[in-house]
Amino acid sequence: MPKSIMVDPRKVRKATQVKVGAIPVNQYKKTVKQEIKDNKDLSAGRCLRIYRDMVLIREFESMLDSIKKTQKYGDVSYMHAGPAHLSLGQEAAAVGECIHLGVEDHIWGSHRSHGEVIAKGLRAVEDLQGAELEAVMTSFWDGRVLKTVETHEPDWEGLKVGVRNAFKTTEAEERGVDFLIYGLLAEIFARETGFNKGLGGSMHVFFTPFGIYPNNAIVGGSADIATGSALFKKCQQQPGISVANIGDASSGCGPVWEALGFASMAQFKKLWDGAYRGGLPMLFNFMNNFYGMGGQPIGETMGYDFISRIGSGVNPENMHAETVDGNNPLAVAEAYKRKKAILLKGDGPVLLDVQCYRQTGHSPSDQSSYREREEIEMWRKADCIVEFGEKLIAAGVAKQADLDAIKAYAERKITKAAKLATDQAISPYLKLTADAGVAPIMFSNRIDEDLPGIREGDVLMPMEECPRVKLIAKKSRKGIAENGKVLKGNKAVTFGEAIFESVLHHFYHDSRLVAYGEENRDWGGAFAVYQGLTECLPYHRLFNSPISEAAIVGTGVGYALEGGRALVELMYCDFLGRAGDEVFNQMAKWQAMSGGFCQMPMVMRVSVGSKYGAQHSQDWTTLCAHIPGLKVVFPATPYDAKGMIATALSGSDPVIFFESQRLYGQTETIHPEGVPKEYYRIPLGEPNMVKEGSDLTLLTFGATLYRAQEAVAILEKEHGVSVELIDGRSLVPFNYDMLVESVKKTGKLILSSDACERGSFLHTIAGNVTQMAFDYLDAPPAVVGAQNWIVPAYEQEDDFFPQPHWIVDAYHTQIKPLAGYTPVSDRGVEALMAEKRFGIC
Amino acid sequence: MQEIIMPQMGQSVEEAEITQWLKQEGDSVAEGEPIFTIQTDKAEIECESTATGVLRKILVPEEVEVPVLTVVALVGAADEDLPDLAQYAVGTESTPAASPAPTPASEAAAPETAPAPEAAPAAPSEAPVPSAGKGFASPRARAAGKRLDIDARALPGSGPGGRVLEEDVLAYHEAQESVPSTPSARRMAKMEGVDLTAVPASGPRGHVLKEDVRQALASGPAAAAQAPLPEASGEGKVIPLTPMRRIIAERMVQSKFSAPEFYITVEVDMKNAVAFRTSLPHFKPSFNDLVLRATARAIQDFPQVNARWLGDAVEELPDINIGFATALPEGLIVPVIKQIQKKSLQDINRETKELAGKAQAGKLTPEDYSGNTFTVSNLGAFGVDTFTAIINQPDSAILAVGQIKDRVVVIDGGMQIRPIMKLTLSSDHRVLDGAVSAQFMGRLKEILENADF
Repeated sequence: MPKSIMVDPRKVRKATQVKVGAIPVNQYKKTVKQEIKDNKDLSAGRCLRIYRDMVLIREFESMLDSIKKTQKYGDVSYMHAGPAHLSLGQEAAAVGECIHLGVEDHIWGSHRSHGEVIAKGLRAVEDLQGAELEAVMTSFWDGRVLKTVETHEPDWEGLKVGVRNAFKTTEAEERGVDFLIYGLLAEIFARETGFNKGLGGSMHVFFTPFGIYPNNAIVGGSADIATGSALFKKCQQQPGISVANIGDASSGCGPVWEALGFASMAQFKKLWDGAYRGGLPMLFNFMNNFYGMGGQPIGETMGYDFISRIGSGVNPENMHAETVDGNNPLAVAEAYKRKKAILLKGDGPVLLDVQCYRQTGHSPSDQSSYREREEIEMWRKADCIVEFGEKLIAAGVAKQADLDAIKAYAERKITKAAKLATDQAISPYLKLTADAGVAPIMFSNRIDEDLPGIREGDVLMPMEECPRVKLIAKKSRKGIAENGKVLKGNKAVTFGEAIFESVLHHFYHDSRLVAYGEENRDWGGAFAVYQGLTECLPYHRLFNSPISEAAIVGTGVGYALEGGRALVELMYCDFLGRAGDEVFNQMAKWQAMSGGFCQMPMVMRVSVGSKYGAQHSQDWTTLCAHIPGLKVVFPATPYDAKGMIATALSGSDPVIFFESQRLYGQTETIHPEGVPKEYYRIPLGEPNMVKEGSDLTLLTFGATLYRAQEAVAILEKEHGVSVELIDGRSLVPFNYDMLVESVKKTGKLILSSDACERGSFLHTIAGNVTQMAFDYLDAPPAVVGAQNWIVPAYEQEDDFFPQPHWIVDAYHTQIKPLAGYTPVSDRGVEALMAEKRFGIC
Repeated sequence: MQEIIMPQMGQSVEEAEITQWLKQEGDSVAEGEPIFTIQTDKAEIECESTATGVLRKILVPEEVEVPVLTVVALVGAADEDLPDLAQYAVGTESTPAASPAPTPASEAAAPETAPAPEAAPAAPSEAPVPSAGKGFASPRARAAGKRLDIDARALPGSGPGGRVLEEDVLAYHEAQESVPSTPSARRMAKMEGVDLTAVPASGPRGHVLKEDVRQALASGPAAAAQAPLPEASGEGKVIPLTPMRRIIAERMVQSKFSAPEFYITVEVDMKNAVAFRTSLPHFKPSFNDLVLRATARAIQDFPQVNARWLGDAVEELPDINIGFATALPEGLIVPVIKQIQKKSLQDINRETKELAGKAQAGKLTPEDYSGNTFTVSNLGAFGVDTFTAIINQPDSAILAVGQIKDRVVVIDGGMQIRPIMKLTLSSDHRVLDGAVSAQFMGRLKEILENADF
């Protein structure tokens, strides 16, 4: 909504035509001989390398196919229960892609990406060989992967093939090849010595030092994450491009379309400033093997004839889309060379439709019931390796004996890796216990005590000159005046301003930080938390995203995995479902799935609504708390919000930062010291003792705190029940010490939040407290949640969200009858059971 | 006043429910006139009145299932006084026939109709609680109860449905503490769950004594509140308690109420023992000495008898320390012969004389009358044939010795006159079973009859 873009009715209403230019399909025509003659990048040696790489992939996948189907590969016997989505037949697409990719170019894959890992890895081994490669290998997992291939069956005999020995490998390179193949296979077999300690596995394996970023078992999952990687490269002025290797059928996935839209936002080329202006260095590589699992996008499940046609719907450049022959590595390589140049020039993004064919099933158990045997046979006759081998011989680059030598070499390499990776003594499993294995790496728990500072051009004015900073400076830091009166938001620092202060501090002290979401710039977010930031920050640090929740979160994941610090926002908690996969499968998982190698410094601010009915007022904190790998916090006071978002923005873990819309204007009335002007952090996971008491412990999360205070007043003044009130502040982590101590004292516990009662996280806490302090309980913990209905209109919200008298009712009905009290609601066991039978309570 | 009962309509009908009263209280009713309808598990039946007069009282309302033969109404003259209706209360406690609540025994008796197996373990071992909510205590209340030695579930509860909360336990405890009472009365009240506030005090300065608690227990919880101990009539001689009297009272009550005793009596032919006693050249043991010696020997063969109850275990003691009850003008005392298994008959003879002398002179030290592991009480000198004694805790058994008296006994088919002594062992069944006590008594009899001292 920048004011510079005028929506002029005279222009808008003018009659014209949308012109969609031509999209090239299979335009590559060169022979091997021509390439070697004309292309300095494509020597005979390079062609032999291409052949070797394809044969290694073929042998690797054939080995897995054989093990899955027969539990044997040569002398190796092994049962692999896990997945193996093979790319037999697609080798040319993978190798062709990587010929022009450097280590700084990052590929993000799919469940079927073994081939891409090998192709990219071999390219990186070649590029890095020498001190750099040694440094990577000796430092990775303290050299454990390397040591395994060095100690057992060391065989560094290189290749020497081709006419005039055009392709020779060194011992250093061979060590790298073994490292790569073994690290990959051990990971597929879930071994601790695998690239991700066995926690990634076949569908997720990756190795970032070689530019191989997470493969993703969610179809199309890499599209928006890779876009975040490209965003990082742009915002942080990093070299290289980002590639999403996604399948043809992923073009049916909403998040993929969201990624296409996000990556092609016009603002990159039109509104971003200086060095930051230009399209994202992002390449969507559709590995088009013509099938989903069995469904066929072209002709059956989608409407397009070529995937590349999608480009025409995204931007005027048609995303530089092109359909290329993925059966010919040189055709793919040639396309990549051109596309990479476009991307580095700042004219991205690019869409490539790489046609190839999966000769085997979706997985080894697939009987290919959905396709004709004849079709498979035709593709086998056009097999990319056979075809390319013939071309090499025809071009005089190799003789059959050279090709045979490469095949024998590949068998040797794969056999060694298979032997080592299936040997339990050499390649053990990671021990998974409460304090070892995956548990300690679910969260990296790093806090950057000192922020790295900013670069020139990262801010537009000194912080103290920010108009909003000046405005806030006039306000009281405390929400309660000397005379005891509660100050309104126009007189004292509000919840929204408290968050703003910390976010602003981080923007002025951490160049890695970017913030985006819907209406984040100019408007300052729908609830104006960022109001004033637009004046201080250039576009590359604060921008508006499309209304694409999946892409907002997914790009944040990619940005964080690259080492950036992403602060993204969902306007309403209710929109979380739109980003379900990105939050639950991506943001939450990659730290652990990397074996603890990667970190996820990402904060997602989520606004919990009210007043707007069933789809804009829900508290879904529980959904997030259920998912392992996420930190879930829900501060309720300005002091807590300011300190906790500072911690979240300094940490290395994914934090979902819930904010209640009821509270943006709230001043600090809970912490008597008010909101410090200075920057500070509050550790996540520590509840706050709002008020001590002796007869009842009352725990709340979020805005319910203030209604609980009213309940406390009723209980204490009218019934003489002394209440200890605790604000949970954080769902995950949650330190139970204070709560359990309190319950030991009072023996009675009521828990309340605005989340629907059924399945509420409050029940988890109630259950845990019952286990931790059973003998101290004088009554069952009572959970006072919202009704298990849709949220009604604002006018009737008091019938839906917990009210002060509900808490008193819970005390009266479930804990101890209060003399002379008549409950307003029926919380009796029979009423509860009756409603549950109908599924509404 | 005549009783109308729930008729037994067929052999198999155990319970029935009045579906409708055809007469109301105050209505006249004649014998043979339909008075109510009942629903059995088989049919609805109209029942006739078995009396003529005015229906004075309906005891069982409609739609309440009661056992057959329960009195359901009273018919009498219009001006006749109603009897105490408490006796007709329909419920599990006051009407023995009306206790349908399953007990473990009745479940075992009818396995085919027993509830689902998983329900069985959940059934409390005590009598099932009749109404929901009664008898439930929160974990915290139970913990407090455990700490204060109070059965929380027995208290009235202030929580929802009568759930006992911690504060109920604390309030009860405080109330108990505020009742002036002797320590042993408090101990006993706790152990037996007697509410001291409802026990009439007979002690000095209004203190509740252990005896008061015992009486309260004996007369039942309801009686405890209603039936105070008798006041002194003023006509008799009031003898204040001596410390010894009080201790005896407390200890005997404690023993009687904690140890489930059983008794075994044997007759012993003392012919050889009598001869043995007179045959000794240097000293003449008493018969009691012989019994002590024989008892020590028998205990060595049955060490289970020389044991004490620890609550969660039984401890068999290595030394046999036998106390012998000695009567004194103000009561009785039990001096103890320590390690009697190591002592000769002559030692025993000397030591009993010594201890008895000190007892009569009031010179026993606590050391002399403590440490007993078994006790012998001999009332033979008073001409008693046989009696049962109350166990002298912490012992697990006590031997009651009667007089030796010539009696006609049948030996080898012929009548003979023999000096017979009757011995009765009281055993604490928590520690000892009948067979062990019987074997012990058999061995004791054998030693005495063979004069195998």
